[in-house]
Amino acid sequence: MRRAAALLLAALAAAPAALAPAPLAAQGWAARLGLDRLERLRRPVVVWGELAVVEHRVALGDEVEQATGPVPGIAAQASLTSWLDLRAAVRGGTLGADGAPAEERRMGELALAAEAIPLSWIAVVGGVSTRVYRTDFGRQRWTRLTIGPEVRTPLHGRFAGRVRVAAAPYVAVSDTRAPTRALEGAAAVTYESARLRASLAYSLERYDFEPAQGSRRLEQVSGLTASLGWRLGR
Amino acid sequence: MSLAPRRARGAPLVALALALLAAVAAPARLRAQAGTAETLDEAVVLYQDLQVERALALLRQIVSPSSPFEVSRAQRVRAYTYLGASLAILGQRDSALVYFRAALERDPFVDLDPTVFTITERDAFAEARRGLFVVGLRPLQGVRIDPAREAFTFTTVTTHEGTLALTARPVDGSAAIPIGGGEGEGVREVRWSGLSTDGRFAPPGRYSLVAVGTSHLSGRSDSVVAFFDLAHERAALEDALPPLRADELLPDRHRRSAPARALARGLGVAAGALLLGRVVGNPSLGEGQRRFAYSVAAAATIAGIAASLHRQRNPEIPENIAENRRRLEARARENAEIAARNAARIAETKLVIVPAAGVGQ
Repeated sequence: MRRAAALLLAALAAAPAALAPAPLAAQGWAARLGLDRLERLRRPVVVWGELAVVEHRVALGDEVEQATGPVPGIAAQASLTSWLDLRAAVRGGTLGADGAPAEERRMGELALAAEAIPLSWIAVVGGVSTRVYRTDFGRQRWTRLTIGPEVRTPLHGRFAGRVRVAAAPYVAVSDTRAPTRALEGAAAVTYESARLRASLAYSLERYDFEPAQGSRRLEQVSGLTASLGWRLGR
Repeated sequence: MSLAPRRARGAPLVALALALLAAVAAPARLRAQAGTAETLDEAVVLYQDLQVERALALLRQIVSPSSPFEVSRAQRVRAYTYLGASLAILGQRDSALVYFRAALERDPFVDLDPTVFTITERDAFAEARRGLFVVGLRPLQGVRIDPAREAFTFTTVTTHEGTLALTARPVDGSAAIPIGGGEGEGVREVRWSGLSTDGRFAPPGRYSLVAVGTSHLSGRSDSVVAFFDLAHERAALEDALPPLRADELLPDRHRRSAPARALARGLGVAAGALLLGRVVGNPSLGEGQRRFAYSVAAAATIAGIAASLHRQRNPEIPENIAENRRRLEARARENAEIAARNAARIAETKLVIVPAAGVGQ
C-alpha cells in the first residue's frame, strides 16, 4: 500500500514535467505525445496532475468506518469561450482502512464539469461524475449530477481563492437507494501564471440516506487536493 | 384710407421716372466722357504736330472748372501732363512745373516717355518731381497665390528719393505686419508672401495697406492707404483631441482600504474552508476532515496577509500605470497625427486678396 502510494506520488510529481512542452520539445517528447499540436490551439487547454488525500467516512447506525488514502489523478480544462470552460478529470487510488470495522477500498472516478463564468467573481459549476468503490466484498457505483455557485476572489498577485457550494439533485448508487440529501462544497487557493497552474483545495461531500431497518446510513467524503498544471495553447 | 396702399400705387410711377432718368442721363454722361476723350486726343495730336498753342487751348478747356464735359481723374492727369509739357516747350517753365505737380499730385505714377517728350520737358518734369513728395500705391487687384511659391506684389512709387515703408494693418487693431520698403525713388515693387511677423500666415480679415514715405530732399512725409480683404483657402482643420479626463484613465494606485480588503479576502476564503464542514458536512460524521480545512484556511490566510502587506508597501498598480501610459501615448500620437494633417492642409493654403473699400468689420 505504501509502496503503491510512493509510486503514485513519484508519477504525479513527474506528470507536470512530462506535460511541460517547452524544455521537452527539443527532445521530441512533446511531438511524440502530440502536445506540440496542443501548443497551437487557439484557446488554452490546461492539463494538470493532482494528488488528493481522500477520507471516506461511512456511518451505519452507531458504527463509523473510515478509510483514507492518496488518490492521484489527471485533469484537463479547456476554455470554449471567454465565459465557458469544460473540465474532465480522472482519478483513482486505494483508501486504506483507518481501523476496524473499515476495510480497504479502491476508488476510481471520472468527472466532467462545465464552468459558466458570467462575472469575474462568480461562476456556476455543473458536472456529472461516476465513481466506483471496490472492496473485497463487492463493487458500488455512484453516479452524480451536481450544480452550484462558486465565488472567486483575487488574493495576492496570481493567487486567488475559490469557495463553492453545490447540491447534487441526482445521485444514483448501485445496489441501494439514492441518498435523500446530497451536498458538496470546496474551498481552494489557486496560483495561475501564464503557463503554470497550481492549487490546494479542500472538498467535502455529504450523503444522507433514508433510514432503513432502524438504522440510517450517512456518508462523507473529504479531500485535500494539491494540483500542478501547465497551460497549453495561446 | 391707409398710407401703404397709396405708396404701393405710387411705386411704379417712381420706378418708371427713375428708369427714364437713368436712360436719359447715362448717354449724356457717356457723351460727356467721349467728348473729353476726343478733345484730349485732339490736343495730343496738335501737341505732336507742334501746334502747341492750339493744343494748350484745348487742354485748358478740359481742365477748366467751367468745362461742360465730365473729366475723369486719368484724363485730368493726362491733360495736366500735356499742359506742363506744352508750357515747357513754350519756355514757361514755372507754369509747366505747376501743371506737372498737379499731375503728380493726382497720380504719382505719371512719367514722361523719352520717346515722346523732349529733354526740356523731361527736365521740367524732373524738377517738378523733386519739388514735390508724393507716395503712390497702384490700385490692388484680386489675387490668389500659393504662398509656398508665389507672393503678392504691391506697386508703389515716390516722386523722388526717399524712404518708403509698406505695412499691412489689420483693421481689428491687432499687430501690424511690415511688408517691405526701403530707400529709393520712382516705382518699386514690394512682394509679400502673406506671412505674419511670427512666420505664420497672416490671419484672414480686412487690412489697410499703408505706404508711408519720407523725402530725403525735403524731409516731408506722405502716405497712402488702400484696403483689402485677406482670405485663406484650404480644407477645414481638425480639432485636436482633448486631454484624457480623469475618468478615462485607470486608477494608478490602490485605494487606502486595499490592504484591509486583501486581508479580508484571504480571511474570507479561510472562513469558507472552515465553515464548509458546518454548511455541507454532517455533524454525525465530524463535519469533514478538519485538518484538510485548516490546510486550505492557512494557505488562504497567508495569501491574504501577504496581499495586505504587499498592498501597503506597493500601493501603485503597475498594470494600470502602464495602461494609462499607453492611453496617453496613444492620445498624443493621435494629436500628433492630427497636427501633421493640419500642417499639411496649412501648407496647401492659398491666400486670396480682394480689394476692399474703406474700413469694415
